[in-house]
Parts: sequence; structure tokens; C-alpha cells
Amino acid sequence: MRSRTFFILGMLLVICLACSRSADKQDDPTNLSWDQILQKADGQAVNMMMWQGDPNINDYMQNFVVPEVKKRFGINLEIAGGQGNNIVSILMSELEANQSNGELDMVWINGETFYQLRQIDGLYGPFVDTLPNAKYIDFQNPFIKYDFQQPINGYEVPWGNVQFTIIYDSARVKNPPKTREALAKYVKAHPGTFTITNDFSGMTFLKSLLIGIAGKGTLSGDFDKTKYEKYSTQLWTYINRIKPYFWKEGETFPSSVAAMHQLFVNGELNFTMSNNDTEVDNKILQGFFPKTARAYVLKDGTIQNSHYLGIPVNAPNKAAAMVVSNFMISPEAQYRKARPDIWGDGTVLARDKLPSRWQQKFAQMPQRLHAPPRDSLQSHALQELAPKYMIKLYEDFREKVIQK
Amino acid sequence: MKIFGKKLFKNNTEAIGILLFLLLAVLPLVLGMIYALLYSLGLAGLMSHGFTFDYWREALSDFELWFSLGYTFYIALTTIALSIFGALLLTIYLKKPFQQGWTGFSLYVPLAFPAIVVAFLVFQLGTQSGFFARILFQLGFISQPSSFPELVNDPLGIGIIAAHTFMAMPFLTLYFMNLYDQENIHDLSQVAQTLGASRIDQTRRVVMPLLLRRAFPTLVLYTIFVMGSYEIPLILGRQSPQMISVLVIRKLRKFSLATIPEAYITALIFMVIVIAALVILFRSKKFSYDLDQ
Repeated sequence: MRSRTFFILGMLLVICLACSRSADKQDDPTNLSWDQILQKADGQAVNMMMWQGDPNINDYMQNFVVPEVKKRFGINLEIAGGQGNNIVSILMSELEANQSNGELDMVWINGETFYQLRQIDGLYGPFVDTLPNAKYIDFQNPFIKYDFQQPINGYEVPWGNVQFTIIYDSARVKNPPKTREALAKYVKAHPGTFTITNDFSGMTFLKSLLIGIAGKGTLSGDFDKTKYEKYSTQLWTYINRIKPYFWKEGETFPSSVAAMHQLFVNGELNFTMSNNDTEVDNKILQGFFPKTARAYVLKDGTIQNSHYLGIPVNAPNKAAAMVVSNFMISPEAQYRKARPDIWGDGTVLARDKLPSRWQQKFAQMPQRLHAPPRDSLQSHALQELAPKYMIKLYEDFREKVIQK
Repeated sequence: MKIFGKKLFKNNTEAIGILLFLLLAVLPLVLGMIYALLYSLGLAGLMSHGFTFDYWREALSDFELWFSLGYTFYIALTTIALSIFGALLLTIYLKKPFQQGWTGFSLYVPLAFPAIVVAFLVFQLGTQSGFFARILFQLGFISQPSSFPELVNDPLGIGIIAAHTFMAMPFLTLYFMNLYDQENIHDLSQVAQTLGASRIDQTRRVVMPLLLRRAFPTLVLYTIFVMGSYEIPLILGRQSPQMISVLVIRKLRKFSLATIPEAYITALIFMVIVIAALVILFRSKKFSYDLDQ
């Protein structure tokens, strides 16, 4: 009998934990003036979770942003490593356990995570308008205004902007294929030297191909099942036709872009990919990629997207997180971040909105050497599709390509 | 259930000990399983829309789940079989050298490696552009590094099995060698010899049955440990089929939050199978390790 009571009590406890969501309202800094926010932020600690897989990015954060926010605003910025799915699972567990003072104050996210966090109401906002430096951002730019076709509506601060590129070794590949047909031809002629990753980057590549097949603009807006079925069938036929000539005869795929980079530098693959158009320059500077590595985009274009900063709905130090976000979109911080020798991340600031001194500085910025100039990529930039396309691509890539 | 009954426990200390064990080790696990069950029935979680069997229907009809379970059993059983075979050989034929000096010390070295390091090691050594491939290429045995056989991310899970065996074999060897001494197997073997048993008979009918019988619980637990491993199959495995932990984490962290209940179901099914197997295995003690029976 006792064991049954025990079981029932346990059940009840879990149900209570799972179902009760408190209506606790955090104090909302958006009601305060900026000076009051600055005052409140002074001396607070900000726990930021972000992907820490790149030494350049870590260096920029640890040796520039962290000391600057301490010096200027008295904020202790502490950075913890974690990608989108870590952030989502932490926030989900906290919200499910009804924890009103969460572990995180600030998160670095992309459209994938934004979509998930909005689904669980995990983000605080709208707060972006409160930030003084937001005036330098053009919120009408579709590559900033929409994140995976969803309007950001003040729930995340644009932080950087990048475009998907294909990276190849010019010592091994003389004329990189720029169209789907040329790619198919190349892959057949050089079996085993090309593949795609089964992760965000691989899906972004497939998305670019899908848009190429459907035609620019055809898939804009909400998920359209009929259109998806029509064009994705063509995409899978195309991929499956050349799959036998992929790396490992297309029977398996690298699980991450890091694994793919490794295969590229080992010489197994002639191509790798990156969501960041400056990564090729970074990796050459680090000595990881050969000096002959180059980046390019397909003729039909590749996905361009922005990445953002968000504040969790249960962040304990929202005011300080806002001050840090504001600093991170200041012309000074954005300029530094955009320099190819620092990080090379595209700025989200609109040049014509900047004070003339900064306009000049941005115009004179040293250019990267191994990827096409950013301005020339713009005409080949494709907007992200609605999140459901990504979900379907992941599922179908597994079902119709990997398991086939 | 008479927890404090005098029949069950010798004294209060033992009762408190067991209670603490239940509280700290069993209760969280049981609560976790209940939570997973509630989640899978749509009764818990931020995304739940009320009671439903949909997730179960979806998960159970998913071929990938069953394939993954089969693959997990295959990897674990092959690993454990190879490791037992190797460890028995070392214990029976090379016990002396392995109990002294550098040779003895070398057995401890693989035990110091975390699983993720072993996985990277096997990856670096075994890929088609890895260490072995390059050496064989330089020596002229293969015409290009990529003609090296697939040992990593391969369909048969050779890389995964190799990495696990690398860790399990020394562990089992040390364990068997200790048992050998503890159980006086040497003396028993000599008795058998006096009674006329040949060397092969001694090994087959005395040494191996005794060792395996005593080691049985550890071997079962090690098999379960291999079945639940994550880093090694993540790095050395294929995208399909995936071992069960890799599959669960993939479903848990997929872009679509709607597959989280399916992840819990996969984990639950795995736990139920393991617990059922344990109950059956430990209940029937009529195992005979005498290879002639």
C-alpha cells in the first residue's frame, strides 16, 4: 500500500510542477527612462549564453565587450557557452518549473531559436525601441525586420548579418560550379569530394537550392504545403541523382559543419560551407584553412540572415542586459566586429543613418581577401523561408535522402 | 512493503541507508520516468495541448526507433563479446606478464581515457584520411588514402565497436585477473588436472565457467553502459541508423519542438526494455557456463 501512496504523491508533485505557471510579473525596464535603466544596470551581473566555437568571436567578446561594459557601465558580463538548443532546453525547463528568476540574462540566437523561443513565450519584449543605438538600424530592411519570415517586433536586437557561402580550395578546384547543373556535373566527375552537412548549414544550403528551383520570391510568406511538395520533390530528385557521387557514396553525411571543415582540410572534400561569408578569411588567418581556400555564392543566390540578441522572459537583470545589447549595436562595437581581422561579421547598422565620422570609418574598413566583397553579395542574397520549411527539409532530408 | 520491518533490515543504520538510497537514487529516476510519461501523453510541458496518444502512435510506428534499438543491441553485444573474448585470452594465457611491470601498467592506460577522447582518437586514426590510411598509402599498400577501408562512420559500426572494445577489454581483463586470484581458480584448475583434466578441459570447464559466472552481473551492467553511450556513437556513427542515446538527443533537440514527446517515448521504451531484461536475467540463475552443457 505504501508504495502506491508514494507513487500517487510523486505523480501529484510532478503534475503540480508541470501545470502551475505563476503570473509573477517581473519589473519591466521598458517603463523606465534610459538614464534610469543605466542607473539600475550599474553593478549588475549579466549572464550571457552564446555559441563559443570560434576563437575570433570569443576573443572579441572576452577582450573587448566584457572589459568595455565593465568600464563604462559597471556591468559584470559573464559568458557561458551554449547553442540555440541549449538555450531552448534551459528556458523550457525553467518555464516548466515556473522559475521566475532564470539563469540567463541574455542570449545570442538565430532564426531557428527565435522561432522556438517565441513558441514557448520565452523572450522578453518588445524592448528594442528603448535602446538609443537602435536609431542606427534600418528596421525596414527585410533581412533585419524578419527572422525566418517572422517579424521580430522588438523581441530581439539585430547584432550581425551574414550570408551563406560555399568554400573551395582553388588549388584543387579551378572553376567552382556556380549553378545546380554545374554542381551536378562537377560531383559526377569528381566523386567523393562533395557533401552536405545534416545540420543548420546543410539545410540552409538545401534551402538556397529549393529557392533556386522555385524561383526567387515564390516561397515567401507562410509555409505553403502544395508549393513545398512540388518544389521539394524536384530538389530530392536532384540530390538523389548525384548522391551516389557524394562523399562516402552519400550513405552518410557529416553531422556538423565543423566535421565538414575537418574533412576539407584533410583533403577528403574539395568543398565546405559556411553561414558566415567572412569565415574563409578568418580560418585562413588562423592557419586552419589552406591559403588557397576561397568562398563564393551560387548564381541563383544563397541565404542571407541576421543573428540577434534576446533577453529571456525570466531574466533577473533585464536592465543590464539592455545596456549591454545597446553597447553591442553601437557604431564602435559594430565597426570593430566587422573588421575581417577581428571577426568579420557584417554590421546591422545602416550606413546612411550613422554620424558622418562613422560613415567614413565604415567606408574605409579593410576588406576581406578571400570572399567576394559584401556589397557584391547583396544581389545574390535570398531571404530565409518560414520555419516550417526548415522543419520539413530536416525531416525529408532524413527520410528521402539519408535513409533511402 | 515493510521498509522498517525487522525482518528486512538488521538495524536502523541499514534502514536509513536504504531509505537514503531510495530517496536520492531511485526517487529522482522514478519521478523522471513519470515526468517523461506525462510529457509523452501531452499532460506536461510548455507545448502540451492536453491528453493524447498521438505521440505514442507516431513514435511506435516509426521504423527508425526499432531499427535504432536493434542497432544498439548489436553494437553492445558485439562489443561485450569481443571484449570478453580478448579479456579471457589475456587472463588465461598472459596473466603473469600483465600483472607486473610496464605491461601491467599499460592495462590501466586506456581506463584513464574519457569516452570522448577515445572517440576522437579512433576518428583520427581510422578515417579514410586518417593516420592509418596515410601510413598505408605512404608504404604503397593502397593507391590513394581514400581506398582505405571505411572504419569510421561505417555501416557496421566498426569504429564504435573498436572504441568501446578499447575501453572495455582492459577493464574486463583486470577484473577477470582479480577474480582469478580471489576465487583460487588456479588451485581449482590444478585439482582438475590431478583428476585427469587436460589443459583445454581445465580452461573450458573450470576457469571460464567460474570467471563468467562470477562476472555475470558486471558483464550485464557493462553491456547496458555500452547501450547507453553517447559521445562515441555521436562521433563515430552514421546519421542512420543511430544508437539510441544519439536518437533521443536528436529528437529532443530538433528544430521542431513537437518531437520532444517522441524523444521521451524513445527513452522510456529503452528503459523499459533494459529493466525487463535485467529482471529476467537476474531472476533465472540457472545459467551454466560449462561449455559442454
